[in-house]
Amino acid sequence: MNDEEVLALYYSGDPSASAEADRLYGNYCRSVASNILNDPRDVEECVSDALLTAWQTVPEAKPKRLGAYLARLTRNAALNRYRSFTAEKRGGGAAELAFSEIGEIVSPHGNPEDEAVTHELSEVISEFIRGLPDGQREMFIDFFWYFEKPAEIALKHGKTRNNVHTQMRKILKKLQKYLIERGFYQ
Amino acid sequence: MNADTIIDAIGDIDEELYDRSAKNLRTAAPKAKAKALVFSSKHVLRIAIAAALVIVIGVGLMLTSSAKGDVLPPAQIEAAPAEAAKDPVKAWMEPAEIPADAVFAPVRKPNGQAHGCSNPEYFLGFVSAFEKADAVCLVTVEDWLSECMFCTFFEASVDKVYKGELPEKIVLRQEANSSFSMYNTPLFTYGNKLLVFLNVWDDWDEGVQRHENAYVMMTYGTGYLFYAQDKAGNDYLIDQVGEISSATREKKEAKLTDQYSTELISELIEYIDKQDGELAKSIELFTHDTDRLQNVPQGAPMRVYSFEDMDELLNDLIKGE
Repeated sequence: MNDEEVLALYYSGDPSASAEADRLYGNYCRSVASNILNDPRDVEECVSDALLTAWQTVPEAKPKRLGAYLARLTRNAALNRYRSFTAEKRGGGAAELAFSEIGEIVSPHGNPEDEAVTHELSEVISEFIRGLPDGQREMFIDFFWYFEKPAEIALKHGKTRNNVHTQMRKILKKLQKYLIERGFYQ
Repeated sequence: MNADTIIDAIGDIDEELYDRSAKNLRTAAPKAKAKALVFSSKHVLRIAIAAALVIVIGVGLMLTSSAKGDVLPPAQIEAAPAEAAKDPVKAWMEPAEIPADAVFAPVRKPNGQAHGCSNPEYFLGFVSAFEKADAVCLVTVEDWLSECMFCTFFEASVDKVYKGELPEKIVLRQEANSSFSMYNTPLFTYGNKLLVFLNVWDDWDEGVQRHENAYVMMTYGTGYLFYAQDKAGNDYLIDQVGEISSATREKKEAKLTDQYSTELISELIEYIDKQDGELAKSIELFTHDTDRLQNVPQGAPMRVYSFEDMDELLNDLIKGE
């Protein structure tokens, strides 16, 4: 079964849609969640939450790419769970590192923004990522979207961990400048 | 604005920028004519028999049916893959390039652990393992393919063959999955360089997805050694779990000098850490007083061999010396 067929199941309200989506993209979603969460049970629950959300939202959202849509729902579910954990349970993984790196370019006293600002920010960040050279774009996505470990990213890109870290810092500095220029913050 | 806002905004970037679902499709439906089998009472019986043979600690998960003992005709040294034909071993020693669409195990470091097997059939040293192996070779682990109740399958490229006839790519069965691993070691991952002692895996009665050209590592899944380099660029092989080394010593099968020293192992760990932090951490754990740790084999501590020594031993075995 392909994307179109699974989406057709969603649109027609066929309960087998979730099982088919899981069969197609379950492991992809698990790999997304397991970069953020340590406990396999949490990972499974996040994937289940994502599939449930997809069941409720796909008919209206009409995603063009079902896999990417499910991955995003899984990432959101995993991050929500991650944020509810204590520092000890978070386990000091790549997600914690990513939050800490991002924390370097925003004010420590900054407040969360509403959905509209976040949406606008996403569009600007998409534009920023498109402007990055290929290697940096991949690394940025690996680290800040997929929360892959710097060691894995280094291995994937044939770099050292220090090099990955340095590159991330440089990209974030660029992003900070980009966002300041566009009036997102001072 | 705070870090949460930016992390959330990154999550909502345009799909085409992060979408890797097409590349990950095959993790759900592995290539090579995947075929799901039904888990039946026959399998339960097999598992029960296997379970009686093993020592299981922790979550108590453990294994499976007998390794295939078929010995192939005398060793044949095959040419390594064409692209590395000039010096396949040197090429194998280079850090692997990881493609953007590499597939990694969803859970690299399981919570549960299993220990080795008391069945003497599995207690093999380097010489007896070589004799009983269907294949002995240097491989590079590539994509994660799938997992079953007792195992995980990886694609692996074959870089040099000491024994057996192998295609360029094989499927490697590791006795571990997202729930448990042998002695709590991490699952293999893309880029791991291994010397492996293999038997053909053709027992698919486990309700698992079938892969062609599948091999299981001997000595109860611990018949593998990791490659690493010291600071001077000398080449070594690490028997992290130490069981095949232990059998070699006890059976007095071969004279191999253990090169282990605190200084050397820290250099080797540093080398591995550049490519696989999780593996480096795990090997570091095994360097502690192994007989006193719960998650390492009792009486079978990690051993380190120079690649040259091991290569010489294997070449002697090929010649029948």
